[in-house]
Order: sequence, then C-alpha cells, then structure tokens
Amino acid sequence: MSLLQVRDLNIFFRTQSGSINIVNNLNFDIEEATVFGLAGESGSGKSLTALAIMGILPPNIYAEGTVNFKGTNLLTLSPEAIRDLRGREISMIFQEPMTSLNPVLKVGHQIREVITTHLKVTKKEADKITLGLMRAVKIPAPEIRMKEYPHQMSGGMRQRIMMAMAIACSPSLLIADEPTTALDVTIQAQLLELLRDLRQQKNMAVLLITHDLGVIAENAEKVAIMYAGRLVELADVHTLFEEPRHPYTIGLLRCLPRGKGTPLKPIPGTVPKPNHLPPGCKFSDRCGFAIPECKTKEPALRKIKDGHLARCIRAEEIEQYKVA
Amino acid sequence: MKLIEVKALKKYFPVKKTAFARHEWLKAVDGVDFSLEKDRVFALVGESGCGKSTVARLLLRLIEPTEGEITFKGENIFKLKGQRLKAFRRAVQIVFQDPFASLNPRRTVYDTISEPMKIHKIAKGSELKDRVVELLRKVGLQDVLNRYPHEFSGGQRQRICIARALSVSPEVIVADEPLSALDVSIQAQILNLLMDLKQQSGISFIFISHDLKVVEYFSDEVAVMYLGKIVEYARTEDIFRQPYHPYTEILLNSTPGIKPGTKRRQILSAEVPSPIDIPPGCPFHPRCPKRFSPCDRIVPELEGSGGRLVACHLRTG
Repeated sequence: MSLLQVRDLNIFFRTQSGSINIVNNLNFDIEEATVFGLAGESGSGKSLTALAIMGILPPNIYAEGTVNFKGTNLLTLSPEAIRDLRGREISMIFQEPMTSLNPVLKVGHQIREVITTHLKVTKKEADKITLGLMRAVKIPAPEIRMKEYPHQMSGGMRQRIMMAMAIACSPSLLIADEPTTALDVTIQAQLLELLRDLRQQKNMAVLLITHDLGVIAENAEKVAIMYAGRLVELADVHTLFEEPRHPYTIGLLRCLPRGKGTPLKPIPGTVPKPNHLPPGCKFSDRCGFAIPECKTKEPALRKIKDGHLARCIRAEEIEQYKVA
Repeated sequence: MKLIEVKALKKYFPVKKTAFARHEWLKAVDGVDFSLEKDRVFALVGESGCGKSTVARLLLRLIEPTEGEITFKGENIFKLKGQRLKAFRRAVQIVFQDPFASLNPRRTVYDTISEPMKIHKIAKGSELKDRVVELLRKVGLQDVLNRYPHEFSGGQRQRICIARALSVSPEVIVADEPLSALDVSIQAQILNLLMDLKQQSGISFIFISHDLKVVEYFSDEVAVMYLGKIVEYARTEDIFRQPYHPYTEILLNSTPGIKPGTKRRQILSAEVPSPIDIPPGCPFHPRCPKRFSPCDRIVPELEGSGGRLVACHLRTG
C-alpha cells in the first residue's frame, strides 16, 4: 500500500458569499521512499494541498475528502493526534526559512524542541542529537552555530536548520514546499544534493513542490502538474518530460529558454482566479489546441497509458513534443 | 558606438562595527569596467550580494560612486547638472524586479505612465492620452487607463512598469531581475516583449539576472560578477560554449536542466564570503575546486584578448 493516498481532496475558501473551490478532486499516491514532484504556477493550489496534508490550513480554508497516511485519514484525526504525527512522521520545510524560524530563539534550541517534543530523552541526549543533526545537514562548526540566532545566518544555512528540524525524528514523509526558490543557484544545488543524500539515508518519501521544472526533472521520480486547482497530468518523470500529453505541460516546457535562436512560445493570458474559472476545461481559454467541445465539458483525468494520466480530450492527437 | 562606459567603478558602503571602532567598508562594487554598445544587450550575472544591483543603481545615478566614472555618450554622468542631467534621466530608464513594490498603489495606470511625459514635457492634453494608450498597446494591455495596480497580476504590472520606462523614449533600459518575481509562463511573455522592444525600438539593455538560461537567450555580452568584481567577461555564445573561469563553470553547472535523470557533478562546497571580509588573493579561492599556489596571495587581473576576459591564474599564469 502507498505511504500517502490522497483521494478526492477538495479545498474550499470560506467567504461571506459562500465557499470557493480552490483545489478540486485531487487524487494521487506517494510510495514509500520515493520523490513525488508537484509542479504548477502560483495559485494552482499546490501549497494548499501541502498544508491540507499537514493539517495546518488557515482558519478560513477547509478541506474535504481523504488523505490516508499509513492507513489513517489525516483529515478526520483529532488536533492532538495530528500534532503528534507532525514533526515525527510527517514534516515540512517552507520556501522562506527566515519567516518559518523563530527570530528570538537560538537555532539549536529550535532543533532541540522538535526532539524533546516527540522523543523521551534527557536534555543532554537532546543536545547530542541536535549536534548530530546539524552535522548531518553539513553546517560547519555546529557547536558554535547552534548558539546563533536565525538572523546571524545566511539563507542557505537557515534552510539547513529547517532541514535538521524536519529530519529530527526520521519522518516517513517530508514535504518540501519550494525549498530552494529563495536561494541562489549554487546554494540550491548544494541543498538539493543534501536532500537527495538525506532521503537515501533516512529512507524518506519526499513531496517536492516547486514551480521549477528543472528541479523536478533532476529530483523527482513521479510528477503531477497542477493547473487551477486540478491535476492536469501525472506521469513518471521521463514520460512527463519526453512525451507530455497535456497542452499546459507542453506550454510550460516551451516557456523555458533553450539557447539563442529557439523562439519562445509563451502561454497566452494569465492563470484564472478560482472564482472566475472558465466553463469546460479550465485551461481552454489559454490553449492552442482547444476545440468547441473543450469549452463546454470539463474533461476527466484519464489514462493515456499505464501510469500516465492526462486531463485532455485531445491528448492522443497532440503531436509529441520533444525536449530539445 | 559605445553608449555607456563604466571605468574603474567602486562603491563602498560604511559599516559600523562598534560604537568606538572606526568604519569598516562593505565593498559592494570594487573596480568594475565594462561598456554597452548601441543596440546590444549587456548582461550582469552573479549570486545575490555580488554587487550587480549596486551597479544598476550607479548606472541610473541613484547613488554616487566611491571612485571611478560612468560615461553616457562620452559625458561623465556624475558631473551632469541642470538640463543635461535631465536629458540623461530621460535617456536611461529602469525596470525593477518586484512589480508589486515599484508601482504607486494610489495612482491609476494613466497617472503612472503619463507622469514621466509631463515632467519631460513630451506631450499634453489629448496627445498625452493617445500616447499612453499607444504605449499600453505596445506592451499588450488594453482599456486599463483608470485602473489601479492591485487590479493586475504580476505579469501585467511588469508590463505597466515597462510602459512607464518606454514613455520617455529612452535609449537604454536597465532591467534589474525583471523576470524573477514572475511565473514561468509569464516570464516567457515578458521576455518576448523585451525581445520585440530591442528589435523594433532600438533600445539597448543592461540586463541583470541570476537566471543563466534567460541570459543566454537574451543577451549579447555577459559579465560574471563575484564579490564586487568582474571575474569573466565575454560574448554570450563564447561563455556558454566554454566558460573560462571556474566560478562561471560552476554557475552554469548549477542550473538544473530539463532532462530527467541528469545529475550535476560540480557543487560548490561553501557559501559566498561576507563582502565586508573579502578573502585575500582571488576572492573566489576558498570555494574554488581548481585553486593552486598563487590563488590565496595574488589578486588575478581581468585579462585576455579578442573580447574574452577572465580573472583567473589558471588562464594567465
């Protein structure tokens, strides 16, 4: 059985004039010790999906459906039970490490807190584990660094601290929401390599959320592409990049500059707001392949071949797009 | 023709350490030379903190340099006064990174775009309005004159910023990370727009970016900056075909490609040192995988021939 099964997950935004559906009937599985990439532009609902799995949606947003983690539905757990799971079985790192660390506590203290919350250890043992974790995430001179405050560290170092906290209890699932977006490419490369190493050592599954298809291509095994709160394509990483079948996926790949001379073909228009979605296929108003039928009926996410799903009625007709 | 020439440009910022100690200096830009030819795109790349945005601010004369000069059409921009300064302000425009922070939220699109033309007395009355409409059409926006910035998405706001820069018919646009706050599909739209402007309006660009794929696509020449210095300077094709400086090589290597399963080999071990405490010798030597004896003692000069310059002992030694 899969480690995490998301079934018919819907996320709603509560407003005075009723609820707005932001994430619509999401279904996917994450297997143990694999990296699952979730990609899409801002507003596609990928971060809310992560927050729903963690059970930390803001008060005006709620989720329906099931999120089975090792057989337990996380959405129906009591707040105490899910708090016990968070940090121990499932943990998360965020895009901006400065805003997710407490600025008035030393980083060593913040890592130790995860350990003393979930494990029965003495203070001395907790300190020892903290140092070990800081070494595991390759922070130089951890004895000194553990006494520093977040503002004394660089963005890359802070993200390492976040990673140390996330892996403290050897969770089965790590959710990484845009973990390297705020960082320089050289630091991004360091952190992604670290993530790969840690994943192998700890045998963790990773839900990697990013808008950067390059990061997905290098790190994920399975990939889901989201658009307007829906999964539009799901496949293993090779199929997705070599034989994409959804016009949105193809459009995203064509947006990436590939050297001089190759003309860019941007996707026209902008991502629609969740309360102003077009009828029919949600991508139809920006899609070059759209036919009248696309504008009336929303297509289902259907099987193209084993392990490859796409939400497009013309998926078979679309000429295969080669990655140059 | 050389539009802009930057000569031995330095900008140091004072940093107070303790109440009694004298100033230390943060060397944001430490001796930079380059030039922008007409109808070309010159790109400045490097990690955050390397000084590229400080160069942008100097180019606009938003700040004064510690040493060195920048000439625009042969005149030192830091000595300009009165009408000549005004003409320079008109000729060189900027587009910033964050379109959410660079538009006044209380002014309509019309107010924002018409103001530069009023200041420079380019048009008034109905002609002014026609020009604003025409500029908006050029950047792909219609019927938005009386709307406010919050009604637009990031990509649309960046279009408004570009229209504002274009309003005074500039000769040079300094674009400081104009794409990095935008989504992938929108980045491609804005990049195409900049491409069109370059080809149709004869505007030259100084393009500042950390995204090497975009730089390769858009620029003609590239300078790679590291801790306030240019470490490599070459034509875009050359640098992307064969980087000379180990730092450039690693930067190129660090950008993830879209071929699944490719693993990068070279990963930098440490982080950028503080620009207050720049390492002796070659500033890159503590992180360089190819360092050898002179690197920690002697500062390499930016040297070379045929338009390819590199500051590395491996190439000159």
